[in-house]
Amino acid sequence: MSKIKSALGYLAAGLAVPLVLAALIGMEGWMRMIADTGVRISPWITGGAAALSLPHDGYQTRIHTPVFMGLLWETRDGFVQVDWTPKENAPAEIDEEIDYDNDGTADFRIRWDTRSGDVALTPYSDEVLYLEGKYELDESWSVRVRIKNPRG
Amino acid sequence: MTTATAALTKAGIRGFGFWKSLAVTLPMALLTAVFLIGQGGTEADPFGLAASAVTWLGLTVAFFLMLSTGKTDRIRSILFVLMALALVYTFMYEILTARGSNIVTDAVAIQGGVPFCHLVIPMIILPALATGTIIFPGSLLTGFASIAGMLVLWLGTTLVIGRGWCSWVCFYGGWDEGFSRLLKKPVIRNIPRRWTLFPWAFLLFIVLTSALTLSSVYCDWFCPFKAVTEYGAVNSALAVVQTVIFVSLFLGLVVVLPILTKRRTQCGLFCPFGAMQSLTNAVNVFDVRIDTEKCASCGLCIRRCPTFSIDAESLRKGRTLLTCTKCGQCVDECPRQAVAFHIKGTGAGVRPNLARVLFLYPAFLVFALMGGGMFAFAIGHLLRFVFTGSVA
Repeated sequence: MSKIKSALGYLAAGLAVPLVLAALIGMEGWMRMIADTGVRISPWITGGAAALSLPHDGYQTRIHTPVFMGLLWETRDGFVQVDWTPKENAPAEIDEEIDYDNDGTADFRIRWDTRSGDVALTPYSDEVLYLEGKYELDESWSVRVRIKNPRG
Repeated sequence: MTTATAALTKAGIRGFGFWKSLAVTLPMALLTAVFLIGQGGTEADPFGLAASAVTWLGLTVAFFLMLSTGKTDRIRSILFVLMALALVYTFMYEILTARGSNIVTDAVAIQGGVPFCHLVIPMIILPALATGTIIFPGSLLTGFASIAGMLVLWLGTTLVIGRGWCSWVCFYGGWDEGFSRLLKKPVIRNIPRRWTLFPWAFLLFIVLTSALTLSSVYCDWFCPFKAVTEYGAVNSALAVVQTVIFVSLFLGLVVVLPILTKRRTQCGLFCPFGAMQSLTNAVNVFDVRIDTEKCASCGLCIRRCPTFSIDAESLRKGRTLLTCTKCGQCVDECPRQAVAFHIKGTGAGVRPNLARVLFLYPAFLVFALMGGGMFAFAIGHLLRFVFTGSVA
């Protein structure tokens, strides 16, 4: 028994270098396997997937799916991200009413002077809480608006 | 040292002869050469090529010396500290080139511009299982230190050397290791054993809080290495508090305490990733054993272990604790050669040279692959700066 254990020990030790090489040589493939599991970066970080694009003259308003994701159940409030992209074509003074739940009624209005950085949020419903942040991203001007979870 | 001990020490030197060392080094030299080609630059960049060559030569000589002198930690430690310094240079250069600043703004985070680091791994597991998402503002597949790339590297290395990661691969560990080697003798000698339980409690805390908040609590609040890599913009009272915490933890755990205790206090008394990584030692084939028949119970290994991984009880049993990082310091320093690298399943003290080589091969290879690129990058810039006055 001890000889078998010993042989297995040496075998496992001997496999260590091939394992390292397999990890490195097959790096791209292993990475792809991780990606293929469907795992993605948290929407709390990325802003979530875009749900709706509204075309304008040379740019579009992109409304993301509201983020309420929790570990086991949804949070009571979250945010919705809105982008104006490409930012080069977006107006210097953005002024737009946003219907993030797509029910035909505007939920809030954003007025944003991108030159001075002044942003004003006008909520049209109790579910819209406050402006969480404004961001100049590579491709877009973006805001995140804190909202209540209608299911929460 | 008594005459008997001195005789044992002399008799127990485990270095190979020149030719045997050379023969065992050759495969490592070939493997590292294959992986280091082009790490420092392309053919059009003579400084990069020279840097790759210098890096390869340095690593090959270091491995040869490990074999010929029989000393592991003495050589590993130098390389490990250099890797930590090279990481900071490489990281800063890459980040400043890509983003123009090492400040992580909200925009950088939203766009996944933060390089992934292994210290985050304990926090991402539960949320990934429960929600299928990773709570880190990095890129899954692309860019400098992508999440998937680091995960593959971590998984592969962990299977092979367990918590050896913390002394052979972790590009932060060299910081407190370096400071812990500055004084000849420790100023603080007695560290209560119960303090070594803190990383486990802290691990539990950050895993749970990160899962509940779906945010990287350790990165946001506790990472000492923010002080030497990147950090959030200090533009609010909250950010000031966070920055004070980062800098205090760095100064306390990575600089001052390692100097005073001659131990890796961040790694042994704080790091939650290290605690999690300890668990992988349970299933890893390599460990460090103490031959209780040879051991004189002098306690030197207990006093010297940088991560508090040997205590009186474990010494009696001839084993290190689960937290052992396989750095080799106890192996190098035991005056009776009673401590050795070991392969599970084999008898204690059986063919220690073979066990050591079988461990050194994957451990050094992973180190060379992780550190080699950083060394080549930093050396290439240094050469370019010396000869042209510019690193670009």
